[in-house]
Amino acid sequence: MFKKNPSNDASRMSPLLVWKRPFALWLLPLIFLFLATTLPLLAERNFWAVSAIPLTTFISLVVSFILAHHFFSFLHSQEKSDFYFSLPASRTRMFLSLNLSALVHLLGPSLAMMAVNSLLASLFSKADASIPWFSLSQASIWMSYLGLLVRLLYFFFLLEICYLVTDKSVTANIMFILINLFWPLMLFLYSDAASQMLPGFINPITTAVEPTAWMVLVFQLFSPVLFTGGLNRFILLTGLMALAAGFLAYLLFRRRKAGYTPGLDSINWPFQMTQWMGVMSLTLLGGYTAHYLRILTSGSLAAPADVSPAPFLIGSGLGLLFSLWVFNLFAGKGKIVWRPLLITLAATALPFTLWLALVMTGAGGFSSKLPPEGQLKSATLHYEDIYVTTLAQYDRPYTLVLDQADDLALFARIVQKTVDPGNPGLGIPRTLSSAEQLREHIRLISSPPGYQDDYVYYYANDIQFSLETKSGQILDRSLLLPLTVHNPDYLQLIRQNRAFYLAELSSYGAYAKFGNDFSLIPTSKASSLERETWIDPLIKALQADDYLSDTVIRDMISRINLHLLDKGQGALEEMLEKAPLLIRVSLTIPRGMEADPGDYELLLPVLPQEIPSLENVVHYALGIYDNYLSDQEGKDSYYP
Amino acid sequence: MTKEGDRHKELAAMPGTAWVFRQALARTRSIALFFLFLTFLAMPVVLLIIGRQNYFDLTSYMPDSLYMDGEIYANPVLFPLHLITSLITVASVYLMSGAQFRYLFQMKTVDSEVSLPLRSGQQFLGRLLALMTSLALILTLNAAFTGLIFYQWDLFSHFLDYLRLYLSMAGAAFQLLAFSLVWYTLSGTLFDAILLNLGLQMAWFFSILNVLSMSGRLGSPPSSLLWLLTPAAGFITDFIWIRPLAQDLIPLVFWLVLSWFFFRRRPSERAGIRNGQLTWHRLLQPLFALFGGVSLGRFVYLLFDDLTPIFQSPAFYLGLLAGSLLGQFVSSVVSGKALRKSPWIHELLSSMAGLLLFGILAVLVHLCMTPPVNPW
Repeated sequence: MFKKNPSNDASRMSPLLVWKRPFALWLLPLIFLFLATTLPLLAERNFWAVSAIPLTTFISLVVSFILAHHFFSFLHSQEKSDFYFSLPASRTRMFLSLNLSALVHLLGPSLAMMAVNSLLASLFSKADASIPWFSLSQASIWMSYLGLLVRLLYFFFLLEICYLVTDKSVTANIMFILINLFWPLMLFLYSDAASQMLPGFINPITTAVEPTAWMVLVFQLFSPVLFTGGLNRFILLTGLMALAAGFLAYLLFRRRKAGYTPGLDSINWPFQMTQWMGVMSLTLLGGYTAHYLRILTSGSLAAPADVSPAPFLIGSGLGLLFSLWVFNLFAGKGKIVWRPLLITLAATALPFTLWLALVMTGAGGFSSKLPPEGQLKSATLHYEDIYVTTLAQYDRPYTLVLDQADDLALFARIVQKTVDPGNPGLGIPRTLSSAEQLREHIRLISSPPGYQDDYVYYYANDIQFSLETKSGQILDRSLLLPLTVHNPDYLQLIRQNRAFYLAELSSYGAYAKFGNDFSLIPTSKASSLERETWIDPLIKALQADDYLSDTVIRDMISRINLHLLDKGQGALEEMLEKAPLLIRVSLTIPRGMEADPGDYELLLPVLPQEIPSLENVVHYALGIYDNYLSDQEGKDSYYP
Repeated sequence: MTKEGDRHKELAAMPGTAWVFRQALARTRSIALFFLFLTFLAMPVVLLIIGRQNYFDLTSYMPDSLYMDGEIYANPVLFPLHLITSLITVASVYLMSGAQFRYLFQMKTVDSEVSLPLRSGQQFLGRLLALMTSLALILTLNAAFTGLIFYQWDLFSHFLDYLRLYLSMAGAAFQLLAFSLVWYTLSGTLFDAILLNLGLQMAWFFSILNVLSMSGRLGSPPSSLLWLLTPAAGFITDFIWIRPLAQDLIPLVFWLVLSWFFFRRRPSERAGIRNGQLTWHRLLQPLFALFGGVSLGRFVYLLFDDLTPIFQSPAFYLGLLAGSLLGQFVSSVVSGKALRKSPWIHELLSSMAGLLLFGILAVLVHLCMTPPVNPW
């Protein structure tokens, strides 16, 4: 009745060849996953919830290497590849069958153990609620596992690509390990070195509060083992990358010649690509090692004013020689091969020298370039170190825009002080200590006059800012600015711009910039109930402990400030009208500075019901005070 | 007379140990030079970058590095440099010995080497001498340049103080070299030789540490048992417990004689055969059963029954039994044994031998060693 289609036979791959694999491929991962994840669960050890996924990840990564070798090493054997490619099956069918079998072997054991563990956890596990990170929910564990599966797929397909573009299994594995190692190292080292030698340059890797999608894409491209961004996030992006890698593997599998003989038909470009990454990374790593070896053994914690570039250059030279040598030995099977050595030298030394020449000469005044006077349209300040405790989360970037001419003039003068040509950090040739030298100079000039020479007073973080000119040009920089009350321009700026003063007050570094006194003042709007339940206890609590007082009030100021920023102009006055409690902020004017303390007095409204998370801060302070009182016999608890 | 002279010339022209030595030396010349460069980078070059003043400042207030129970036999600058040099030396031992003996693992190369008019003793001795010469040159030149720097800095006494630790490292390197040769001559593939070499040392080191610790006999220094099958441990432990020269020399001679013995009896047909398919491999597997048993036994004990004394804990013995079976199974899989063809009774017996070894070790440790005195 049904006519047999001969083409179906032609694309049939023997199930025996695809599925009949050593039972150890299932058994060993299952045993190790059982030992690492199920046994702690059965022993009712609460660390199971946090250790299960990392241990599953480790075991799965090891299994990936074994499976890639088991399923795809036939590509590197003349006899085996002749056999496989002479089977009456299309390349597409063969690719799909082999990958399906490999992925079932890779994901099956961990999926089975996750299911068993979940079942056991719901039956036996007693989560310790007092340790929140020990009692992760099943849903969050499964979410992490889903993220792991997607990342494992990308990891496996990239490893398979390495098998498909090389002529030996050893080369494939070494290439995969090396690109996983060198790619992120190269990205990190070059961006970091640029930001150290060109003060002001914003290093996107170290300044990002958390990984962005493009960072995940770039880092994972050649380094899936890093799991950039964590397991729970960027699942869709990684899934797309896995799909793309799978498709590329398919194309390569279709185009793969059957007749490669290891050692005779050499495929060079994967090795050359790995070599290029390795030589570029190790050259700069050599420079880093020598430079910091010299600096760190000098015994001084601060960057010296005069730093020689010689150790960096010697270290880079030795790093270049070492990396060229080691890759050449690898390619020449233990013997030096001169011609490829010279080609690689040219391909790496040239871009490295150009890059080095650019950054060591200051990239045409990159760090000190400022818009001409009067041309500044606005300055946007990005605060990364806003005072946020675990009591309240703030997940938006905190920015402040200065657009008034007098504010901009003062801010430009503050920036100019940092990028003054006399700053040793801007001397030529630049070194890896240039940015630190620049900071050290700013710390010294920001310390009170006559302060001890060997102890720096001013510790604050670099601040990111964007300067926009009237012609539309934007300069993005990250610098340590002399933002202290010992700087008259800064003192003037916080006097004339209250939003700026509040922003400065809300940052972690505020204590290093100015000295403040805080006091809590109940207003006539406070009801007797409010006085009794939280206002008076709060005042007593903060009077009892200076450290608690400082922490809690700074946290409260930060909450109020962020709320005011959302509400816009006019909100402060409105809230002051109805607040039952006020915070009075007074500034201590340092000796020698001419300023009226009254100009710097701030009144801020404490409205726990209206300002998000402020109630948490108040309860936190009262809770601590309550504990303190409970420790003392015969005293009543204030906290309800 | 002329005939006699010609005969001598002919004999002299024939390849012998010296010829093998020269060939072998040439074979690893590039690698040896590279490792010399690496050791230079790790010690003399680093010292030059640090500079005399920085070195002097760092070492003048603390002449020796400290660890929790005492001192390390190197100052704070030389200690990390020594650590890196040790790692480089370990790598050089493995790579150079692998390069000299890798011909044993391919049928084509074995055939061509065996067909040379050389006795197997000459082949072995020539290669061994070349390896030892390369290693000795690397270590000596590195020490000489380091010593020269200290001499120039007028701090030669620092070098003399450190030399004791350096010589101990050199002893450990030669011992590791001899130990490695045993596995190169016994194994069928390079991969298996390296894996077995590393696996055996790891299994022995951690098993003994565990047995000593469980018996309350882990003192400072620990028992000499620790170094019996773990020459690489000397690179790490010598910082704290420098061993007498004999402790390096006796095993060195023993491993060399053993490797020479195995090399002479090695059949050419062994090339390319996985270790799991070779008979002698079964004799070593109890060590992996011991490692698996002790590790899993302790793990299960810590998870389920850590309040009971370990030797009275059923959880420990259950873990010990399961671990010995697992250790045996993993070692069989990794070494390429055809498990489907191997009688299960052999596997079981090997696991039981691992358990027996544990029992013997535990009893010996209890009987022959006294618990260390707690200084607190």
